[in-house]
Amino acid sequence: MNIVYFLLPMALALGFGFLMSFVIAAMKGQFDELETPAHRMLFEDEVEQRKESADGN
Amino acid sequence: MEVAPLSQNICRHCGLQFSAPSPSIEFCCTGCEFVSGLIRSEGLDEYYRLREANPPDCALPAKVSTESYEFCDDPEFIKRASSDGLRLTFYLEGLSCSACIWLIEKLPDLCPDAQAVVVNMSASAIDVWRVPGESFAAIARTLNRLGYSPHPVLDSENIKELKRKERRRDMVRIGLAGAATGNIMILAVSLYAGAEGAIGSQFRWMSALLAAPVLSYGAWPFYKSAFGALRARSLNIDVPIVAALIAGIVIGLYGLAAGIDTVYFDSLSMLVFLLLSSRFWLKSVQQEHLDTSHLEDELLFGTVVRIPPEGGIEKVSTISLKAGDRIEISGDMNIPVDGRVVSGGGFFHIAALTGETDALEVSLGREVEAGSRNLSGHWILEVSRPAAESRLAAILRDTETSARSKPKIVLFADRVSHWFVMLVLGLALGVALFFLKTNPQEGFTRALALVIVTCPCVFGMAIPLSMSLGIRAAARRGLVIKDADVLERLLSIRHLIFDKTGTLTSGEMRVLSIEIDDADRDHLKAVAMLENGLSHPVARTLLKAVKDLGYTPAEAGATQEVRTLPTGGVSGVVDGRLYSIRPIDSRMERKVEKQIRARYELVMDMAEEEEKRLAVFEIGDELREGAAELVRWAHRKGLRPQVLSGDRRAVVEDCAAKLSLNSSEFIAEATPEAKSQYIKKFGPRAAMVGDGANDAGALASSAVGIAVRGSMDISLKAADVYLMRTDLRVLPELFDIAHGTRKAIVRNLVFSASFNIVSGALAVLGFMTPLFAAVLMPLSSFIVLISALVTGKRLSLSNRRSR
Repeated sequence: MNIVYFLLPMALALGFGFLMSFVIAAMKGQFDELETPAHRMLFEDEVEQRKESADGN
Repeated sequence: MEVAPLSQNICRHCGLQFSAPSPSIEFCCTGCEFVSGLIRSEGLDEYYRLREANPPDCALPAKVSTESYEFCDDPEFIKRASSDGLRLTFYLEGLSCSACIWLIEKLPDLCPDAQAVVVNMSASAIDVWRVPGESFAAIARTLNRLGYSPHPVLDSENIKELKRKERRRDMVRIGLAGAATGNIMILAVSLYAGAEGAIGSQFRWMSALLAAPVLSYGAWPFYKSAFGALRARSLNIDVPIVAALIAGIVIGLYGLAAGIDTVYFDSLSMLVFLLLSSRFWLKSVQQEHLDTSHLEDELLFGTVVRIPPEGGIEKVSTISLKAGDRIEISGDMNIPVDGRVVSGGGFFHIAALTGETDALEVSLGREVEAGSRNLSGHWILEVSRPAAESRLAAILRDTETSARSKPKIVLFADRVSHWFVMLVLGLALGVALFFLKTNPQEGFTRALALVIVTCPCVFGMAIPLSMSLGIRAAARRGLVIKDADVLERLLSIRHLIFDKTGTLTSGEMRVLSIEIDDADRDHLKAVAMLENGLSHPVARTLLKAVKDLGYTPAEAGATQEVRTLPTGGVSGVVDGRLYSIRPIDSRMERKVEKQIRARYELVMDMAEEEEKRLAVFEIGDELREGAAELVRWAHRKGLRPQVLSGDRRAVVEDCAAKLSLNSSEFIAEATPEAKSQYIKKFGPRAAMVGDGANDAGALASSAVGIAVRGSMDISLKAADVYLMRTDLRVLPELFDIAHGTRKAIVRNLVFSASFNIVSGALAVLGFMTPLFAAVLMPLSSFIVLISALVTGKRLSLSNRRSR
């Protein structure tokens, strides 16, 4: 049963870590606008690549 | 000449079908061709590929714009609209899919003035950064050419920043409360399973420790709102929540210190977490749906020509005009300010203010109000009040405020929720006192469960949400509702009374037929010459008709002795011959605007007092598209349709026959006073659909006045609903929205009443633990809000389908 005294703080620390990363992400504005990024991820990559290859030529 | 059969082509840019003489023609218009060429030349073909993956209706035909957007480059405008002089926010019409986002964010490739563009899809807005020193106007023009209409948004960066920060803080609160509550629940499971001794007491302490930030930082908005209400000596829905929180914390801490089993931190944290979540969701829904753009802002965006005292001219933004500035008015333009004419001459009309389309003459010293429209001439106006302070701006602001005022049902809901809170708190106190002697712990648990589980949120949140969603759905269809009470009043309407002219008919005169011998056709030139420059509506109608036939007025001065006839009409000498254009029945002239038909003749004086009739023009006003459909719909719905007109009996009869209305269903030759009187008889059961310009009295005395045409100013003062579009077929949707909103409210009230009675009784009788209550209560508010939202969404969506 004593293992609880080790595991519990571990679990809480883990939870606290995730909470902090959420807080940081929220304060940096990652959740401010949820619609456009969902669309944007559809095209950004390939176009950037094409542009790079175009620049390279 | 051989006529080739038309082929049906699909425009390569906008995807619309169009007819063309050959299948090799790829574009429906030069605008589309130009824009497509622009897109392709920059290697942005990707746009078309992306678009294929999206619904086909999202493509936009390109526009050939007349708007120069030059005002966007006025330093004064930039100072107001942009905090750093480089970023400008536009509200963009037509933003619909990922292809749009892609294309717009590639704007710097299409327009060298743009440095970067970021799209915000959920707000239909874009942020544009210009290359320092380059032109915002060029960027706006490019956007416009692509088919999107940009409307600059005045910089409210501070407000936006505050909202953004608040939203982020709310999210942090929810995250914190969720994480802590989750862990508390794990501890609570072992406690409820019977953890005892050292472990039990340590777990209780640990849950208290985890709950501390939730109950302080997390619950802060509730404390703030409840104490705010108490300070104002009223009760809001947060008061019982805070009462439960404080009582729970105090008893919980006492229990912790005394080593008693029951502590409430699990229930309280759960309550805070779920409430925060539902409030956050409510807030984002409301912001999404209720952020209406400011009507008055539209006045401020335009380009005007200012004449500085030192001479010359400069193009500036309307926004930078100050009292005393002189501006040049010419061409077809809206006058954005109140002012006084200081030189020049011409004609203007004030249809936007009064609905009256007659031309008014510009004369020295004459006061001209913002919203007037120039027709012809070239004149200079001295600004007495800039756009934002003009009478029109003040009226538009009033309209916005009254649209936001609380409808009766919401005021009623506020009162009920007040009593509800008092009742619950009283009942809880009673329960606690009842058990004070025998089992204070049990009494407190029951009282706490009662306070937590009962929820007036249907009154405090769901009813206002339903009402605002209803108004919003109406606005999307082009129905401006002055105050939300209208949605309630529409429900008791049994009589739908229509004005005729301008409501069921188009209100615009057209030449329906011209009877003329081919040999006499060239005399039509005289019509063009005589009517040229006259402002009378008949003159303008006739002039337009003969112009369409190819007879344009020759140079001025070729007509002599032009005079208007006392019986109506005009006469004058053209090429040495005396012509008159006059009504066949001169009694009609005075009321010609009120008639469905009028006949004019063109006569030429012959020798010896004789006249020769050369042509007969039939001028008239036709039933609007959809009018008959609307009347049929009203019959079907049991809304007895009637036509109430000031027009002559024969004309109204003709119109009624076309609408298949019988003789008891129309009244002709009614004066405005008689109209008002007639409508008053029906009390709350009559809705009047009329022309905003000349039915003001009737509109005001009906239970619901619906203005279909005319000025927003007069209409919104007299009427309750203003139709932005001329299509009458949106009227049924107005009734649908009212009924849909009512249904959602009733459904929520029934659900909420039964929920509160049952769960309240269970709590008093001791069948409900505070933890269970803490889960159940937010769940019930979720259900109520979702139900309101689903109805609102459905009302808005059915619109999109019909469009």
